[in-house]
Amino acid sequence: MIINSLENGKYKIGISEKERDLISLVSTEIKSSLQAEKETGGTSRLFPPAYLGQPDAESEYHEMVLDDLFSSHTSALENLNTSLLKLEVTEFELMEMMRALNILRLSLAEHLNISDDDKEEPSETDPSYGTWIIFQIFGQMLTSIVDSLQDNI
Amino acid sequence: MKTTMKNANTTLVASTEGSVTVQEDQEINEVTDLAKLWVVIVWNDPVNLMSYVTYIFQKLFGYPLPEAEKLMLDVHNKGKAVVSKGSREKAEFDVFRLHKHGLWATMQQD
Repeated sequence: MIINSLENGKYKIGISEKERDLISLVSTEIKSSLQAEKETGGTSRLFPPAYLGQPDAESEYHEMVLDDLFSSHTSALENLNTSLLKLEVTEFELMEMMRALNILRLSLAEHLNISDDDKEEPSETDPSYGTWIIFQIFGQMLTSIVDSLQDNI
Repeated sequence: MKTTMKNANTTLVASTEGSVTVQEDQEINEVTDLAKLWVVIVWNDPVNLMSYVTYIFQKLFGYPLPEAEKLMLDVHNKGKAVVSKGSREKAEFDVFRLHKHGLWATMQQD
């Protein structure tokens, strides 16, 4: 993925058909898993606690924001696929794409059980190797977006 | 017989037997508790990219790049950093915005 900022303040996204298909496939899967997770109360890193050691406050907060957080995550994933079909996107649309790619990475990290900075790359024969590669590809895409946005902040 | 004397947020109760007890004014203490600032803390995690975290701090809180980078490095090296302060409502709002962007944020009274 290559992002170019344009003189009109928008951004042009260069993305291959394969990259677009990959994003579409993974985002559809993650959206389904988010729905399943919401139904069981939302406990992954996409629904983190706000209050530590205060179960009553946390329970109240969690109940208050769960629907909104779920809607926010899923709408970002839906908008990602729409934006990838456009020739140019606005800064807001690019920021939403950034947020969606980060959601995908966080979800993949749960599957990969990444819990520290020193997680080693799995071997090519490891069943999680493909997920690891996708995680890395999304990291590169995210970096491209952040760098472009940072240049124009 | 008892004599009472009110202070700023305490009441002294003196008895004729010579004992003095201190009663804290519960209402005032509750008000003081409510007035305490809440801080929003972002915790280190092994997934979010450093450049992404820096950018989010800039966009959500308006930090200039050097300050956003310093906070990001505090999160990375020290494990956490305070990124905003304010009322409980403001802290909940900020935590929600950070959670929307996939950062692990919590809040507590300062």
